[in-house]
Amino acid sequence: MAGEPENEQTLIRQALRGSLDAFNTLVLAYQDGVYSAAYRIMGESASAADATQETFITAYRRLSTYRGGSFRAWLLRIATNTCYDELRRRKRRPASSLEDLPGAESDDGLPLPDPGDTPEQITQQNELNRALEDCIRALQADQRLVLVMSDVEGFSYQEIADSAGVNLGTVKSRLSRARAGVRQCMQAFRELLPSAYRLDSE
Amino acid sequence: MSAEWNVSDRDYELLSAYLDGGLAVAERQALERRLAAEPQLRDELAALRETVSLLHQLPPLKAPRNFTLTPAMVGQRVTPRRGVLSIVTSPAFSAVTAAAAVFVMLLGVFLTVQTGGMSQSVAPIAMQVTGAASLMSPANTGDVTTERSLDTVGSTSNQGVPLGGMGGDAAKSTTDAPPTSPTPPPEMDIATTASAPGVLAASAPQSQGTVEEINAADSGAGAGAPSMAFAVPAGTQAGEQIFNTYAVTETPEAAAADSNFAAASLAQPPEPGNRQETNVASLPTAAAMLTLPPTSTPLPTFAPPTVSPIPAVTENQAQTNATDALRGDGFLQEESPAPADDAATVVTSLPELPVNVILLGVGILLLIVAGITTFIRRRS
Repeated sequence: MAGEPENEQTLIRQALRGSLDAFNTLVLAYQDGVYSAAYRIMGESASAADATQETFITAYRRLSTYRGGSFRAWLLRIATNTCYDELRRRKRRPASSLEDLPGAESDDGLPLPDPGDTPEQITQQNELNRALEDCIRALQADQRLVLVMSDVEGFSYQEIADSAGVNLGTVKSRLSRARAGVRQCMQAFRELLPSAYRLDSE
Repeated sequence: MSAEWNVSDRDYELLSAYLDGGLAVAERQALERRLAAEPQLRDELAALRETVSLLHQLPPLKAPRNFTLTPAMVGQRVTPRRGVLSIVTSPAFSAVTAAAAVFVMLLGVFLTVQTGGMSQSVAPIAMQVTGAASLMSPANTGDVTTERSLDTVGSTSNQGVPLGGMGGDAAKSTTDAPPTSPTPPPEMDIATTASAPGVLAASAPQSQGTVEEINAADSGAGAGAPSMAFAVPAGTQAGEQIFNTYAVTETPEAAAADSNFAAASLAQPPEPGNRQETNVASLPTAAAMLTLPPTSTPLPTFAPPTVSPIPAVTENQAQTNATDALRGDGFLQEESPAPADDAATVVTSLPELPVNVILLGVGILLLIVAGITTFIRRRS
């Protein structure tokens, strides 16, 4: 996750006074995080980019509603809401292009993390993460949203329930099914890999 | 780890919530007893925990491009909001309106104070000349012995500001009677500018013309005989302004001249050309009448103007009558209802309001406008 800029609150105040430059400094600090959440929720890059841009525009317009606390969490709430609205919109109007379908391998090069590990570790970790991304993408949109918010972005059940407009029980059961889905998916992935790639020692 | 999947959905939900510490004490203890007894459930919990930790460590992806905002992205909904609404809801407009409101109301207060002093200071002078005079207050006109009271109705905007200065000028010309036409007071320009962007604008030239008109009448009367003319604003809420010209003269002739003059200028259409014509035509008449020797004998008392609402249509009638009067002998006799008298009566009978009340009303109106525009701006 992107570290919070030292002068984050200063930048926010300047942005509130209309400084787009100050806000864009915040955008650059958080765009990876917002895009990641959007990508994992939406399942593909084009929608993720749209949602990310929309998130920052909304954030700029509603900056006066930011009431302190974690600015990253505030941004991610807007991001997940944006994604959730888009997913609901698609539910009413089913996807017209293959690219919109979860699991479509149309992504122009999945953006990769940039760790400082050895090449072999990078390869391993990249493989694992790519598998994980695939497993997340294979989930139903509702479950994906809850899983990403909870297990990737670290929101509480209550925050997810508020954001998605469902009750706590629904959040719990969706999360449970999503985790079960990813767990099964990763199980299948590991069985295809040499044992050296397995993280869990048998 | 076996790939078997024999944990129920219900159990999986319990495991999932257990991982997040989301179980009640009783549920948690029951699950922990089962975990101790059922290795399969234990294995499933371990696999689930590992999955969640994998998800937790999932690094952020790199944004494929920068998502910095351009002014167009966030300004798109701001810039199209140009035009009347944006002007009216601009902070500057509200500020100017509020300032104008304060100014007008202060002027009203100022006039309230000044009116009290003026009717006391001017009345003795008028008394010397004519025996009695009363200003501003219609109630006082009844006490006047020799007085011609005539209201000039001008249809202008609800701009009361020039009239305040007018009262002062008229008061001055009562004592000096200089045949000069006073320039409009500086406040008038300010007020015109202040209200220009708003609904109250539009007839600044017209009101200016009215001021000159009354000044001309004033100086014309003042040149030949001791006379006085006070322009007193009164008005209706709809933005009509009523100029009351109280002409106090020594001779009935002069009074008639004044009346006729004012009546004529009252009924003039707002076009400058027409107004000029009438003024030129009436001034010699007034001058001619003023050559009559002033008499100090008590003059017949004219009945105070009756107050009754008249329709605006009678303005034309008033003009005709006034013109007739000017063409005729120009004498007014109280017994015979002369045409000019008709005109005067008709013109006089509009309801009169104290100037300060009107100014305060206009001020409140301006304040309301300022408030509404501010409210609209906040909402949008």
